Amino acid sequence: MSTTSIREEIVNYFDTQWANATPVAYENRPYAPNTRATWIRFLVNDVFTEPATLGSDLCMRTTGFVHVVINVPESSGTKMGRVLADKLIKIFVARQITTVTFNNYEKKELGVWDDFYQISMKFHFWGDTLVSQLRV
Amino acid sequence: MAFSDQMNKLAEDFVIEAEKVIKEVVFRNMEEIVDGTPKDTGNLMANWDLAKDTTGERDPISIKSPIERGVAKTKSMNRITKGLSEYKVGDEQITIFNNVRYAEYVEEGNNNQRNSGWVSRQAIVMEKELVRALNKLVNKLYAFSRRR
Repeated sequence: MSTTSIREEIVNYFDTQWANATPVAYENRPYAPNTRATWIRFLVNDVFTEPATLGSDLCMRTTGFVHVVINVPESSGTKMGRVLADKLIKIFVARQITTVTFNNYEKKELGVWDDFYQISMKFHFWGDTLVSQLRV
Repeated sequence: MAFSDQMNKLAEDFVIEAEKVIKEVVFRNMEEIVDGTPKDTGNLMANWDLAKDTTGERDPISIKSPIERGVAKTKSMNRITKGLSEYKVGDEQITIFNNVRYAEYVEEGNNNQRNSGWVSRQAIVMEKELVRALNKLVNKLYAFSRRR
């Protein structure tokens, strides 16, 4: 496991859980939003990796956050945005997937920008990797 | 020297050194934040500020025409340096802020200039670096006091 695999693990988990509830713009994948439809932007930020244990096989802990921006077309009401925000909370908060643990979250309603009512959500996580696994 | 005097001296030394360490780490990370700010006119980049014990209540400076990256950075870093010079260990908090109207959107929303969340990223790095630097300082002072 590495930071790349931690990112992939998170993206794959989210893909399954979201089940095409809306179109998703992932990092490194081209996406042209339809101005009439709700969509989300999904980013994994792995920020910092440091040793988390002592001993011969160190555990490296990566800390970061998943950033999701919910985009609801302007003048279509804001309820859909909040419903999706609740769905995201259920998917991430206090969840553990294979090597990644999610804890708290932040939510900010940004208002209307670029034709969309935008809600920003950040889900903080840490992911553990043993040094011996990095050699494989 | 009596044990209590040694402990008092250790505490005094810690406060003096901790202030230097905190200021250095915050300054370095603020430089990263300012440098990483997307620049169009320079308005956002020039409006970073730092204050102690406040909630960041200040109107942004107005940039009438586009300015160079270096000029914008200097404007912010001068204010940050001033803010840091007023900070003392024991002050409740340091507030880092940018009150430009669209700052939150650039940081949190969909913008094409760069991936959003760069301030949050740097805040995590800053927190980690502060803990590490202060731990190192405690170890250094403790080792030094044992030698005396």
